[in-house]
Amino acid sequence: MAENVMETIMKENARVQQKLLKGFENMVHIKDLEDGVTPREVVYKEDKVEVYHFKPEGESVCPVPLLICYALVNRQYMMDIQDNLSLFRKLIGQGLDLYVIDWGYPSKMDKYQTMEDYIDGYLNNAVDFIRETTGSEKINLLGVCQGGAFSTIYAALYPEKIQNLVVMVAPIDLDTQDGLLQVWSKSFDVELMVDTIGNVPGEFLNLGFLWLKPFQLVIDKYIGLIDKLDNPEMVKYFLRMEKWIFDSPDQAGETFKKFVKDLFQQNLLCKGEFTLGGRKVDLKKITMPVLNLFGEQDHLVPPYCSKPLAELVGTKDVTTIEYPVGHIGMYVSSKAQKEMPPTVANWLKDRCSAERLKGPGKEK
Amino acid sequence: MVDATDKPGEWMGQWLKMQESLMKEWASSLQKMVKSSDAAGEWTNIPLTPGGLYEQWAKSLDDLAAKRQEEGVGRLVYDRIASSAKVYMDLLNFWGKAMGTLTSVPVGKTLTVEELSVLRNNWMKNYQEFMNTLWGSTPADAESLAKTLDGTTVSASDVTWGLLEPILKNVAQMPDIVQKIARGDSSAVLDLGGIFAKNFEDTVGPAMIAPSFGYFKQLNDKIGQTAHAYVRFNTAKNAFSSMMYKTGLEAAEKVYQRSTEFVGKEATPETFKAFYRLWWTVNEETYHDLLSSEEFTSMSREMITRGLLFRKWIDDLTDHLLRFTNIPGKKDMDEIYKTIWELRREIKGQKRVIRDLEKKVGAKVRKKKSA
Repeated sequence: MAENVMETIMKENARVQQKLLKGFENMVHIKDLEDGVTPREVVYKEDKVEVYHFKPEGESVCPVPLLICYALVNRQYMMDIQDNLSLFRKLIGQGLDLYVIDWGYPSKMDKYQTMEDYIDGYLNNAVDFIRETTGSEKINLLGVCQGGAFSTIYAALYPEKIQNLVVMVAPIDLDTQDGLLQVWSKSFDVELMVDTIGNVPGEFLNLGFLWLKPFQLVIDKYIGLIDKLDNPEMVKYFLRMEKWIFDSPDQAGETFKKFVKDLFQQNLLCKGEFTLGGRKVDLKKITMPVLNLFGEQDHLVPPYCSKPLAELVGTKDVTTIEYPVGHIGMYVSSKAQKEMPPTVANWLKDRCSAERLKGPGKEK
Repeated sequence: MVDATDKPGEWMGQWLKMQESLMKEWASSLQKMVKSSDAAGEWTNIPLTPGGLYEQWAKSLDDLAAKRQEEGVGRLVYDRIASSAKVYMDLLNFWGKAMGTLTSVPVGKTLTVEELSVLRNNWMKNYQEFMNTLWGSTPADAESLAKTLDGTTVSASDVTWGLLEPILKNVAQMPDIVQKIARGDSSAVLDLGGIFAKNFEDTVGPAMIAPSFGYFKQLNDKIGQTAHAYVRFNTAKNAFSSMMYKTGLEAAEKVYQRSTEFVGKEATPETFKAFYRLWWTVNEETYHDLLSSEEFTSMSREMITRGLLFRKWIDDLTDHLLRFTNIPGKKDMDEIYKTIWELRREIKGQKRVIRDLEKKVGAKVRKKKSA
């Protein structure tokens, strides 16, 4: 028996070393990977924020441009991670005229940047820029994760500029004791943190995300890869994912403080008591059609945080779709990749026909 | 002469040869030891454990990468995989020992309470050895949190930290004294004060002690407050780590209870993989229970708060020291950042007004022209 154990240990040891060696060969020469794979053009820039334009491929199916507002946490290129797994590419492939906001990396200098600066400032300016350059009076807005909450707030404050609102895995109703992130964020002194260290480090947030499933995300994920290390394509995909996961910009202190205090700790948006720049944000003012997409197995933004949006908005044209995937799966799973782009495109197409309205750009 | 490492084929070939001989050496040592051993579980005392071998192997690969100056995302992720593989190898080693212990029990024999206790204690002892590797190998452990809390300085440059470091971080005796204090040894507080004073005197003290300016008392108070905050942070951090470690032991107990599933099974790679799956899923569940508990919430809050307060005192002390230099402190920088932010807002507001006016003027001009 002891000899069997020894033999097994030796075999397993040799197998792991052999695989790791292959991985070493396939990996270490890769210095960096691109932030997104689909050709794009920077069309607008303000401070550290950039807006990319992705031209539609083939016939345009929707005359109203679509702007994607990603979260401040992590980076938007998750939706454009590689050729065969790019929601951006698939959306333009559906004939949509796509714009995407890249929030950039806040530095210490941005610690006083408020949520108002992001929503009333950068987001509003990006929307105006697109309206002016395309001549479309309204645009379609698609908010992702924290960007979904931002987009919802924006649509409530500026309904006259938004034709349709699409939100993906958006944290809206945070009055829950179930999700770990929700529980932890309720208990910590965000005021003290921001007052002391200014911007909240991306590493700190990442640590929180990893602790949601520590053994799976810190150990088993990598052990599971060992068997696939001799597959260069798989290795490259894994590297792209790893780059994205750990590419976490610091959070502008004041914005993070308000986001945690008002939304996570007090659930003010859902209660109808959230204010921005002195104005109350009334979700009932969202009278445009709403498409709400979320993942059934999402452990970061559980479905019960996203689902209630339908009852909070002022429109009856709300479509809610739950995908059998997790948070990341919403961007990269084969199911989401296959089904989501045509669903979004068709949903928008149905609500954009004959909507090429005369916009401010046409005055020029 | 061209370095062999410049040609991928050559360096890899040489390196593989070296690995092959290492592997043969290890295998033959292991077999000799097993043959010379009478007891079934004795072979596990061989110094060349899978973990040790792996470590040696990984180090040689690491040296090779360093020689070739490999850096970037590929290297970074490879290191994460290698780090997890180390845990895997150590678990493999532990499993070997556990299987050895299990097979030493004759099939069908009912064990006495004492024998069961010895079996369990051996199991737990071996597991604790493994846990030390586990805690030292997790890439996203408390180290990064500690870095967030006390390793960076918002207020000033590395130069400032360099000024304070000799006092606050390079006090070699500090950890021991802090532990004594945590145990309630009040005399250690005096030691701390003494060491602090000595290090202060040896480093930036002479430059800063200037009674004629009348700042000495204030500075002393701030140093005392900072040291106090450091002690409290460390105490909270230790309590937090103890809680995490205790949970690891609880998971070990659960894994032990379920390890009976493996009695009588052949020791194959598949059996080990099943054990590995059992190990990580039980740990995941046990830690999930902890992470969902009020105990975790309150202890992590305590640790983070203490860390932030310590950091606040460091910043305050730094600001105080920098008053005597031309280097801006945290408060100065915050003022600058705030002014920039306000100016940026003002300029953007004015730009918007100008743009709106231009639009209105343009519309009027167009109207006039068309008229």
